[in-house]
Amino acid sequence: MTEQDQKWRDTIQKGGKKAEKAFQDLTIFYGPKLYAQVYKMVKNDTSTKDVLQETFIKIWLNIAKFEGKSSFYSWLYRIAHNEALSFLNKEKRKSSISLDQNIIELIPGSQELQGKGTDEILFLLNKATANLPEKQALVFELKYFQNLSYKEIQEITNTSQGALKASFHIAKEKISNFLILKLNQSPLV
Amino acid sequence: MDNKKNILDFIKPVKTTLPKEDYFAHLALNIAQTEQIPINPEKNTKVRFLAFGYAAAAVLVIGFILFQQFMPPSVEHIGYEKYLGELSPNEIIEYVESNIDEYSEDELIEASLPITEEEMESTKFTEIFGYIPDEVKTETIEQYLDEDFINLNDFDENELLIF
Repeated sequence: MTEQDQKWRDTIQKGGKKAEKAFQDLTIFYGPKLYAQVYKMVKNDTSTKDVLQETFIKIWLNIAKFEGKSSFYSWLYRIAHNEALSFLNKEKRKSSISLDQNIIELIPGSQELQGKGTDEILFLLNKATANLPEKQALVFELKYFQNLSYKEIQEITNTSQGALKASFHIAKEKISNFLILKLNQSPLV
Repeated sequence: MDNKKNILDFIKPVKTTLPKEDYFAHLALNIAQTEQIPINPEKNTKVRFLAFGYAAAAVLVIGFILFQQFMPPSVEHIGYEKYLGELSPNEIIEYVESNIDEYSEDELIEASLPITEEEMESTKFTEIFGYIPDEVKTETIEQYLDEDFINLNDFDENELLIF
């Protein structure tokens, strides 16, 4: 937990106007990162905003109980991830979600990706990420999808850049192995 | 596929269009103003019990100090009185803090109760300071008070309450 995270948590715990302001600052700082994370899963702006609202309600209601044993962002990431999964489970019973914009682009040159659609690959990417240990998944999300520098990730996660690089490298290997394995199987499971 | 390249090198994430800062600020404010943060009852009980424990410990220590003051120097300490006489108030507080779990809630409540008006109006010293052990005779205390020309009536209520 960074010093800034601690300040936000302590101020929110005390309540009042200062708590509202601290929560606003926290949301402005972490909101975009969580938005990008959730968007990748639920795939449209309206749904992402619905999920994000539930995520931040949970953060607001439970931040006082957060003891700081793990990284604060890991905690936020987990809440957002669970909220997005819960949303997707509910949506399955309704209708399919429309895609607002592409989340990934496929670059020609890969034999495994030939003839595959972006939706299919994104589905596999999300599945592969979900199978990773939380820390690796988080680093992969921030580095690969959100293109943050290691320095920025270090500031968020309070982890050394060396450890982040190692985590990203392992995550990338695991995901690419998973993709190759699944793409070589037919049909996709 | 080029063997040197990772499959992920052929998948390019597209930068997500993010909402403006206003959206996040408004979202936070809306949540903070509509959602009531629940009070953690467990934590509150702990804090209350701790404060209660400190209050009880303080009463015990102050009572002990008072007891020491009113004891005639010639009276020989016996048993735990002698032992307690060798301890500093800090040592006693430390003991109470580390053993507070052994006291029942009722015992703590009883120990921290303030002196009642009824007790204050009592003419008998031992009824006011009920914690003085039975071994100390009332006559001994009264004798001490007489010898030092101490009259309880000379003290106002606030002064007695300090003890």
